Amino acid sequence: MSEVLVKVEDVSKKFCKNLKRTMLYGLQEIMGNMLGVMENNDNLRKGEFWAVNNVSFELKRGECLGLIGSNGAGKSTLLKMLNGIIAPDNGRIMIKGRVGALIEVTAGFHPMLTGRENIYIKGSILGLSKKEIDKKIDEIIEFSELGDFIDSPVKHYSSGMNVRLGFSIATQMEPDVLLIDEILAVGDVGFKAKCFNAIARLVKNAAVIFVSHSMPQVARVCSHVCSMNKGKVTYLGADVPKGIEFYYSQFEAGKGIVTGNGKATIHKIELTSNGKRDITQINYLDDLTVILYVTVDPDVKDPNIGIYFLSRELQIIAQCSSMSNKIPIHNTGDPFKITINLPRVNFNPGIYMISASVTDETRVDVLALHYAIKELKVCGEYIGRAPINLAGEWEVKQGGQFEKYKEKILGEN
Amino acid sequence: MRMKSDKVTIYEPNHIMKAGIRVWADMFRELMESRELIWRLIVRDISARYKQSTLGIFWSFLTPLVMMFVFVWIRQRNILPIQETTMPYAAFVFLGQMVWLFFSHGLTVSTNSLVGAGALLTKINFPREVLVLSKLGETVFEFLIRIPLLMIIFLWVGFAPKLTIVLVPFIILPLSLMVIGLGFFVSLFNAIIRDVSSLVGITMSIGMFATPVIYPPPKNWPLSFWVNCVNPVSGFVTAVRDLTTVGYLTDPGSYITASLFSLLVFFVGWRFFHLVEPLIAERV
Repeated sequence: MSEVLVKVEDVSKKFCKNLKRTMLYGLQEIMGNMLGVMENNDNLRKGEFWAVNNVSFELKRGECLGLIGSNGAGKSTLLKMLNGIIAPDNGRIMIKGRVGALIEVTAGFHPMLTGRENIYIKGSILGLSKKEIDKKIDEIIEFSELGDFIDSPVKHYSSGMNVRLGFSIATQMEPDVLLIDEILAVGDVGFKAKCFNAIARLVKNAAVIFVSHSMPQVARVCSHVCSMNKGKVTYLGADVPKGIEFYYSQFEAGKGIVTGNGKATIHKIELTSNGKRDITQINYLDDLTVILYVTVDPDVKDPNIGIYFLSRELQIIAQCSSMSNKIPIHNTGDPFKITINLPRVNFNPGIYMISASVTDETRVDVLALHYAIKELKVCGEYIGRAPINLAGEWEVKQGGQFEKYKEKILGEN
Repeated sequence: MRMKSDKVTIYEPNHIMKAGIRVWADMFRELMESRELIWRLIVRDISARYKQSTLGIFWSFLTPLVMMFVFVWIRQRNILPIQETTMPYAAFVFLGQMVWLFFSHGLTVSTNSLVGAGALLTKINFPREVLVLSKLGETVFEFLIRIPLLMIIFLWVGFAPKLTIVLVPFIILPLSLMVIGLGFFVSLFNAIIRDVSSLVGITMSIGMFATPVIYPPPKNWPLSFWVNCVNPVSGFVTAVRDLTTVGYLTDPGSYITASLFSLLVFFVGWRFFHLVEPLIAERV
């Protein structure tokens, strides 16, 4: 199961920014093709740029390549070339076996026809024969969870139902090469989980290329990663966290946002650890102390002061506030110096952002908020994919008691 | 259970050109493989079209019927001097309309076949020829459902067609090839420059009067050579009427020329379409 299914060699593609010029070049290319004139594709004509520039990689069955990069990095263009929708200007793409694509899964649905009719049409477009669809239709309908709606026109479906139907058809393809473009951004939680499982099943038997902006998803699904920037590959390899780091390094660390209704001021946020002041990085399981210098308007008697930790995806992963810690703060209007000790910080090594906020006792009015204002690097070896790496206290035994549990476990099943 | 496929696909710049003569074999194979898809798209287009209209297929009767009554009235009032025809004028106009609409409607719908495909074209990989080919299905369907009405009109005007009318498919076949062949060209150009669809619309409106649809093939007009011989649709319109009224072709030359022209247009159009296919998605 380790044959090379996808081989991309020095592939490039150029696009033109100007519409009228695009039409001109289009006509030129058509004429060139007709007359059999080989064009020199190495040079850019006026107004053109390289959307994909000299990309090469190989992918075997069972491998999953995460294609990451900022908007306009060339990921989708590369995917379109792999899907054969547009031809490369340079280089060569070799694909072995059947290609399946989880891209725009609702494309080709006819709104006037029923879900069932659309399954047959879409299946045919994707290259399935009537026999194959007949065999799979029950599975498709069941997976889509559409029930009786399957016999109503697709135009009466909600957008979520549309996607469910499209996804259900696409996952029945059993492809050798699977292309996925940002598909998992849709559907409710239950269906998303189901999709992940379906993809996991497909991944085992296919070579997968997965385009996503969600780094946790990439870390979860991919065995390899290819980070692109402006058409060029910046990182290619099996070290997924490293590739993700290349992706993040393309973006300037945000300056943070300072807002609030002005009734409180956060003068300074200071990080200290092990006696060192104004630090920006700690080691995994080091103690961290956050010192806040705050003034709050005397109107607010019982402010709630807190700090929040954000991942690079700007998702809040941890909080520590006076209210949640049941620490009463009584305000008279004088400046505060607040010291928060956080022993043994167990964040998975990586870069995190810190926010600090002051709210009133109802936690509705935000008096001051410094959002993602400080960066904290946790050093160590990144293992796994969760932002929090609990430092458990373990006890490992072998033999002895085991038989007893074995019976119990078997009994439960 | 799992279908193993060892097919190797290669994408390269200008890859189609390199294939040379083998490309025809590829094109035929691809066409055969997409038979089912074409059929499905035909069924889709037809059923979707009639689903939300209450009059449904009656619209297909209405256009030629209205035209028929209008021109019968115009002729009776002598607004236009139209010569004596070989069959009662009402049937003459209706039959002519059927053939002309086959051409004009067929070409109009295929003009927009690529542009109308939308996301299908830019997101999914499948032989794009099927989009143009399947559009003919609707046209053929309309032609077929008009046949019973034609029979009723024959009865009404008391005209007995010759048995050779069953040979009409041999006229419609080359006409279909011409519609598809031209459709390959216009749909492509329309994908790049949208003006093409307006141009086709105007051409079709004028074209009916430049074709012997409402009048018999002219003999002594200054433009009769253009109307009879240069206009490729004329040969087919006349041939269909000949099979219905006299039982043989009065002008086999123009039928043969038109058929050869159709074949040429079809194959050149198909080859052209296949050649340019990889450029479509990025230009639509």
